[in-house]
Amino acid sequence: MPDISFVLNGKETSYAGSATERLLDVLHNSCCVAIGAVVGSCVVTLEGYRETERYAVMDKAFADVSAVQCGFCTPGMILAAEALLSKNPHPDETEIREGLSGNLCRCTGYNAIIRAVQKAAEEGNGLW
Amino acid sequence: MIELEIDTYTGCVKVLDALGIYDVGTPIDYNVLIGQMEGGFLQGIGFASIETMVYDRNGYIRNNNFSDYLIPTTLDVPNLRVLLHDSEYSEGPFGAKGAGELPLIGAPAAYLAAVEQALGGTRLNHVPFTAEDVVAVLAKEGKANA
Ligand code: FES
Repeated sequence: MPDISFVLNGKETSYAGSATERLLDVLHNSCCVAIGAVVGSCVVTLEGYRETERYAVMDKAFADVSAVQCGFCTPGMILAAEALLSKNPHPDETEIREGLSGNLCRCTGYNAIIRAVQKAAEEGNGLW
Repeated sequence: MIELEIDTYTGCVKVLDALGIYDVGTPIDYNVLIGQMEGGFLQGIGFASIETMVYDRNGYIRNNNFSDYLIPTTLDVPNLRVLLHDSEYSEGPFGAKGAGELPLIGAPAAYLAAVEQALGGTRLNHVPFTAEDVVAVLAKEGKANA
């Protein structure tokens, strides 16, 4: 079982979606999952995701369109985008908005993040 | 400029279009500045529509998490657009102006003006103007669909 490292503790409430991890291909708020519930499962957090080729594409897309203002929401947004693209590699704008709707961002107004995910989907064509 | 639609049964307001134009002097990092403007604009729309803060008698904020202090999500204002009036500002560094608070200021007024117009001209004078407030106005004027 891989190491588990939590992105952020969403203040035990997890409403902002910043503390996000992918568990069995499903996006979870890490602060809402009891440790006993993940025994034997594959947990991917941003720290592990960072080693992948998909992350490199995502990273570049977020940087290129300046989808990061303060950066607080970014780890969760990236994992939500990963979860979305692994289900639907070519989402349209509405699908991206729905896919990221569980994650709050106070700074960007979301447009830039949506553009970043569109860009990642285009440039990482075939990776997802 | 905000264009919206009101459901006269529930009081829910749907923002159809939102356009902000800001005088920012010379943009130093164009993308970051646009992000700042879009973010502030959406924040302003949130303040004007759903972000109600509740205090108790001792001044403590009662809604201290995101389940009861709602802020806009990706789905709330999909058509938000921003344009810049780009002109050198002689007093600022590299011709730039401060851009942090700017987009926040006009948004609530624009939002409320649009709600006012949609409700037929009753003067509205507070934000956030929530769905409950909309229903209260409709009920008072006997226009509610209920
Ligand atoms: S960039 Fe600040 S919360 Fe998203």
